[in-house]
Amino acid sequence: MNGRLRADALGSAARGAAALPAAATALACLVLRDHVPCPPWIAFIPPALAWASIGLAGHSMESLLMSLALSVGLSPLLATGMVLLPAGPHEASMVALIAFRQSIAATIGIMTPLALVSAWIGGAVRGLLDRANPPTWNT
Amino acid sequence: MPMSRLDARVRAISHAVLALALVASIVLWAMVQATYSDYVEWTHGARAEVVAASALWMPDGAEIAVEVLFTAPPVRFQTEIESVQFNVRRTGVHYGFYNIPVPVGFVVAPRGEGAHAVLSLYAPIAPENSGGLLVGPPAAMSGYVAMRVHLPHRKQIVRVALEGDLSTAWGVRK
Repeated sequence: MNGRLRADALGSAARGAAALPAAATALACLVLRDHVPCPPWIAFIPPALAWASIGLAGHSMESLLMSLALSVGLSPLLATGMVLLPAGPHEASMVALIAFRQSIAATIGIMTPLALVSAWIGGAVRGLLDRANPPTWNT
Repeated sequence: MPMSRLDARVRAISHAVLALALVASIVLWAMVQATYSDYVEWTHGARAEVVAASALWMPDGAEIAVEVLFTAPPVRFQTEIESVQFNVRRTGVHYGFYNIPVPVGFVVAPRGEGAHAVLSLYAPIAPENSGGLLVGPPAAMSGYVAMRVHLPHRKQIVRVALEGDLSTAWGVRK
């Protein structure tokens, strides 16, 4: 039982970690919106897909929330690092502060609702599939 | 606990979508990073220096003539010089702020090429400044070259620092 819990936790952490780069990229694109070669909203499609896929997988609610919390919670830090990378040392602190502030605001205002809605859509699709095709167990 | 066929299939699709999202975000970031690091390198590499500057008496007043050398590394977007703006001071006395616009559409370098341009600019000196400025040792100019950078979604103004000495010459006294 303990081993299964640990495997569940590791699985949800892995799914959260896989969704994290997509979420951080969306935030970094929002911070650097003038440099994005396509309409900025396109940057939000990969994280929405990632969170929908986590919802689609049909894991437990705790596991789902842990994956979402990990990817949403750490994304501002990773986004700040991504924006900071090419900046020179004399402007690094200012760039980091601006990037982190904007990332936090976008996480609260955009990413958290988007994560919940995307995961809910994924879960709803999973529910529809389960209802349409009752489980056939492998023997 | 055994996994149903549907469960196994849906989880496989879910993993594939997750992998697709990861690859899409990496591709998107590579594109943004290329433009952004190019911009950062360009702002670090852009230089403006005063080649020659002098304040001259002219038949109808006085004027500042300044030659500015602007150099910048190659960049993937178009850059234009908007104006040259500077203050003139000598031993704590301010002799005016000068904003010399450059003709609209003066492209310093085509997209993808480095810039090496010399600008010859003139600005009239206000009568209240000309008397004090033209008599005495060189004055200090400090300001910037205002650049218009055409980013994918915006025209950004970038200021490149400009400093130099303004020599005084007698020219043609009124």
